[in-house]
Amino acid sequence: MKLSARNMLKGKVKSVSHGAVNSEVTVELTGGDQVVSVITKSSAESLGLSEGKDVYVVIKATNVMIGID
Amino acid sequence: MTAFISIEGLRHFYEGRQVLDIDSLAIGEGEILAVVGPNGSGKSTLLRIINLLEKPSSAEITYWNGKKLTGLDRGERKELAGQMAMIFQEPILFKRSVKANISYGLKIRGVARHEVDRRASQMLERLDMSDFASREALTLSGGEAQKVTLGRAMVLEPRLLLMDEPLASLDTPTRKLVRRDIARLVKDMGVTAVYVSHDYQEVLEIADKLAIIFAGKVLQVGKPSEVFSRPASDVVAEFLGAENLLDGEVADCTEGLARVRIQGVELQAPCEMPAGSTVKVLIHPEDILIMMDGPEKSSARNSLPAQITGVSIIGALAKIGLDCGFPLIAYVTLASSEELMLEAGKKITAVIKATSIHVM
Repeated sequence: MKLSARNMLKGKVKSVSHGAVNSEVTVELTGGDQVVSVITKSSAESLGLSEGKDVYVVIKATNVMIGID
Repeated sequence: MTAFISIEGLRHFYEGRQVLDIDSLAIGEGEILAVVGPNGSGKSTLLRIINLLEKPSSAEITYWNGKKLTGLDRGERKELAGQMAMIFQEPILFKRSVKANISYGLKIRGVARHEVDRRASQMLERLDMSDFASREALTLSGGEAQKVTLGRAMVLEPRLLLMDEPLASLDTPTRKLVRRDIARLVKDMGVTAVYVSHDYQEVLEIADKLAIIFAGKVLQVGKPSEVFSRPASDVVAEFLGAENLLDGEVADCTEGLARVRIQGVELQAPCEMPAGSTVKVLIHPEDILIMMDGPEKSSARNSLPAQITGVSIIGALAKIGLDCGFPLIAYVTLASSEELMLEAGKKITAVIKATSIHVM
């Protein structure tokens, strides 16, 4: 996938929780950290997202916030 | 269209400091004019001057009955003031029932008792609050209380309704509901209104006309979509911060996800409005992803074939002009733009998550 997004992180779906319109998908990255994504329910269904599926998490650099302790 | 109210040469000073400097501003009959600007820009003062609560240093205001501010005698002033109603940020209600609150203005105007009752009941019905009639007004939630304040103003059938940040004290979901009630009631009753807010997103849905005010000066007036697509100055553009505001129509809507048509192109977005609704679609440029190949399998509901119309550099970002059948602006990092060799004429796919599209 040739994309403008600077961040494409490989991981596995840990859980999918469906709401009325949207679904919350938790992805466990290779290093063990988790990323949560909210996508439409129809997307979650059409991609067949379920526990254990290999996916990429795509995040635009302009959407990433940075915090420090 | 003859102006319902026309304001000319309005200058106003507080302790030697100029707070308003408006050459000309007109409001058409039946129009909702939103006056939007940051805090301290003179919005509330403008309302108080229109409402005859404050005398401007100098101005000519011509009201709907042809009377001019500078020539009003006491009787005419009172008559005009009686045809205007105003609501404020904080709902101010009396410790009485909801219906008594709605009836108050009619009673002090000496309207016959049965007529007061009829009009108050009708107003409660219009507000979908008939069940609240005998409820003690001080027990209402913020949103309900503001609806009652609106009803109390509108039951007087004013010629002009003035609203000073009427949603500012409410939480976001309540704001949306009360905003719709305001728009519906004002439009159904054909009342002309001026709506003041510091938040432009709040007024997009309901304003027929938008005036952007900064430091006492009106910088731009026009239809909201025009002001957004063609801001008159960088100050306006920066204040609005919205580069992709499009006119669309809901093609269909199932389970909260709609297909919205924009100049013949369809987008999927969360939306509760029925098919056929005319809507405004807001897409932040930062939320658009650029893909070089055709649509891939991703969770994004919208993959639009597009051609790049221009690339300009803004600091660490590249601003990419796109033609997807309608114009769209995307921001990507400069590094991405260089890596993908983005340039005018190149064909790409613009990818937008449904949840990043705001339908109003």
